[in-house]
Amino acid sequence: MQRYSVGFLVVLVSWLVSAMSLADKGINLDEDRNKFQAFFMNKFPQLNLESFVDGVYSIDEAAREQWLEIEDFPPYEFAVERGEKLFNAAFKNGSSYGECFSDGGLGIRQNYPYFDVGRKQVITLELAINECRSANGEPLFDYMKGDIAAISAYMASSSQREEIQISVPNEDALAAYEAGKKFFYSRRGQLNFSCAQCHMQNAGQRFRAELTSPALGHTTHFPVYRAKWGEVGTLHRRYAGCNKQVRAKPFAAQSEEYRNLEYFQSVMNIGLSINGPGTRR
Amino acid sequence: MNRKILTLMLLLTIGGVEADTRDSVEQWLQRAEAKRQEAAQLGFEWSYTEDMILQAKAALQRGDRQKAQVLAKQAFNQSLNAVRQAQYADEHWQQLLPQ
Repeated sequence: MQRYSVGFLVVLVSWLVSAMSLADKGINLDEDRNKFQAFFMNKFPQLNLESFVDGVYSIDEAAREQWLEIEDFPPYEFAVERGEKLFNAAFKNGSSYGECFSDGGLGIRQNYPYFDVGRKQVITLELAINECRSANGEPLFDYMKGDIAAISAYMASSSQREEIQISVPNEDALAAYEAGKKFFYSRRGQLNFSCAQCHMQNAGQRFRAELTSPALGHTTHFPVYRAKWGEVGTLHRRYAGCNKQVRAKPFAAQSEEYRNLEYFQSVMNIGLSINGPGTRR
Repeated sequence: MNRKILTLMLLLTIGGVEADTRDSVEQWLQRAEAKRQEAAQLGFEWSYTEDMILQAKAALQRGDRQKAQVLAKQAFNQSLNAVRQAQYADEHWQQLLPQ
């Protein structure tokens, strides 16, 4: 009992030191998130916070009706079924995905991405899936689509309505968060657009025939089946597509840049819940 | 006699222009590639720059020096703007933060 008390004290003190250190740097993550979320609540006062998990369909009534009808027979269903089979199939060494993750890998999507304090980097769900394969002597999946998207879709489907649980545990994590934040707000590409310009300032505006989605809620519904892709793809595939649209050379899926961006966006989404996989045009 | 001198001068002039063009294309290609790498290191490379450099090299191999030079200059200017964009982002990215 005494040993547990000492352990608890150590954890508490380290948490306090970490919190004080972040505060010393003048960065208050709660304030960051509150301002970010308030921006969207003010821009779309008809919505409540949880509504943003539906992305563009939270603000486009006509498209929402079509989307809800599509959701009756969702096109990602095949990927989820395939993902379930792949997830439950044993590796050649007899091990399985479930042994690589806590709680057997189900109902855990809301904990990703997380910052690995030992390795000093952001670990996304897709990266963890491939690291599981690597650890068990299996070849790596492509990070954009196919089997990794199917497994990710299945794991997300087992986590629906789970509230996002992301933390920034220390200064290294804060640096990753800040790098993702800087990426989000920096103009890039020949068209000189930042993520924030399209998905904050111009959220809800039309770019040609499409409404731009609010950034709040972006990560909750991935992986998604996109009509444009004709299949399920990962969040980093979408990031690459966005970068191409502004004529910036995209980074590789699971590059440090995109993992940090996903980390920042996920911290901004704390308070929302997982509703992936999703369907988008 | 005068005609021969004039012809010789004309040939020398054309040769000089040709040599100058060839040198310039190579220089522009080197500049473009160096600047592209600088932009890439900063994480701000534009999507068509590398293709443009490859197209410039292909044009040069075909002997189309004029096209090669135009493409190399465009690629250099794109990369120069990408580097400037990175510098601007470094100083101003916080302007878009919600207040």
